[in-house]
Amino acid sequence: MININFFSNRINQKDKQRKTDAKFFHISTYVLIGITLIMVAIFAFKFYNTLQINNTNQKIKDYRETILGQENVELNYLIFVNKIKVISEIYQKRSNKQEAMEFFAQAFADKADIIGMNYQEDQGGLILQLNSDNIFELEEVNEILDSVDLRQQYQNIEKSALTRTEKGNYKLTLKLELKNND
Amino acid sequence: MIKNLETFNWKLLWNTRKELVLGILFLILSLMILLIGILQQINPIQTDLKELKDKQTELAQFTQKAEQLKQLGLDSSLNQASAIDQVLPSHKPLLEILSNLNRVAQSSEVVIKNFSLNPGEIATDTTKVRKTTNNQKYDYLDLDFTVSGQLWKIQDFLTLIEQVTPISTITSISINRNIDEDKNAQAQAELILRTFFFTQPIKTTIISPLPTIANNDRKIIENINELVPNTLEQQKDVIIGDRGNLFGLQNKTADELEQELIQEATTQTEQPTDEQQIEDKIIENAAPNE
Repeated sequence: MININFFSNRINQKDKQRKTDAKFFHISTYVLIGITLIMVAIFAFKFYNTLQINNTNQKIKDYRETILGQENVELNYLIFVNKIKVISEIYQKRSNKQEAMEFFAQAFADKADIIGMNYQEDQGGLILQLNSDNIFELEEVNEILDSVDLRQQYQNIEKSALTRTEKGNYKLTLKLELKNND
Repeated sequence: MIKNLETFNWKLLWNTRKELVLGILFLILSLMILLIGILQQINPIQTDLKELKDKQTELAQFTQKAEQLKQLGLDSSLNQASAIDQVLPSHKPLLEILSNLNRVAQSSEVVIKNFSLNPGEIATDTTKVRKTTNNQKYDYLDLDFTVSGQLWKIQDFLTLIEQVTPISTITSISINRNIDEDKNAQAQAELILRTFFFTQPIKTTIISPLPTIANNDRKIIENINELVPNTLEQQKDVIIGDRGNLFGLQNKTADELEQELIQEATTQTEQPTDEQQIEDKIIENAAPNE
């Protein structure tokens, strides 16, 4: 008796289909596992970020409390620093008028009397009026004014006016530029 | 038969192609996970990362600020804060100026002839203090006065007055000495003394870093130590004039006074008035007739 399988083609087709289905099932399983893993990783990363944010927030809160606790110290320091800056600014604007006055008073001690002085901070410069009893003293004053030592100290000195009084005195007016405090 | 063909046989499909069905289900599930679990999480994660970055920047600022505040305790220059306050007070140093003027005039042996001062809002509502700078870091009080004395004494005065606290500077000098008649004539100096005080409003935020003191500014601290501190004691208490109690309260508290007034009021109501006494007498007189 001969067995004839009329469904041999059908069986082959079914086998092929089963293999294709199995392959498709495996691939889709891998895809599902892969995507699930990615999702878990993403959620883990998100959770980690949330923890980090919470941790940072807690630290910020602690620091904020510490800083607020030292509010007075900070305020005192800010006032202190700003005051120093202001004082520094005021010092820089100060000109050394006293030093100039003392310098010229000593320089002309026996030669001339300082009879007038004018100083205006906004205009800058010091105006000195010297009185010499005679022409010889005036000459000495002139020599001192033109001396190297004095010119090194005060470069810009202008002899602006010279008058002779009835008594024979000489009045010399000087304009000098003051040095600012360093 | 026709009816059977119209309805799809799911059971047959499941029995014959189970793997295909499961594969399709897995793919659908994967797609759903991709859409819901992954793609939709991208934006929140980006937001979280941005927030975390911002928070970390903020934390760095807080850490820096806290560290700076910690270092302040070790900064010895802060010990000079009270000295700085004396040099540049945060109030109008009216009394200090007058005290200094008196002290320096005495020590340099010059005579102050007259002075005028416009203290601004301390005096009246209409007077205004002049402003030196646009950003209001500091303000000043100008004192115009005349001193007389020997020229070298005036020079001493000019030197000393700028060496006392609060920080002052002479902005105008006009010295005259008439030696035509007298060789030893005294000098007259018209001066304007400018005394500074601090007016800058301090603004800060909790995370703004503390300013640092520049080296040039540190040198100022040394200069400040050379200044002569003002000896004027700050008045913190009200000094009682001891002129008795002007309101006749006899050192009683408000409660004691209230109690006393209430007692007086009640005793007055208990005592019969004159009218009541008269009525009582009339009643007493009329009674025997009845």
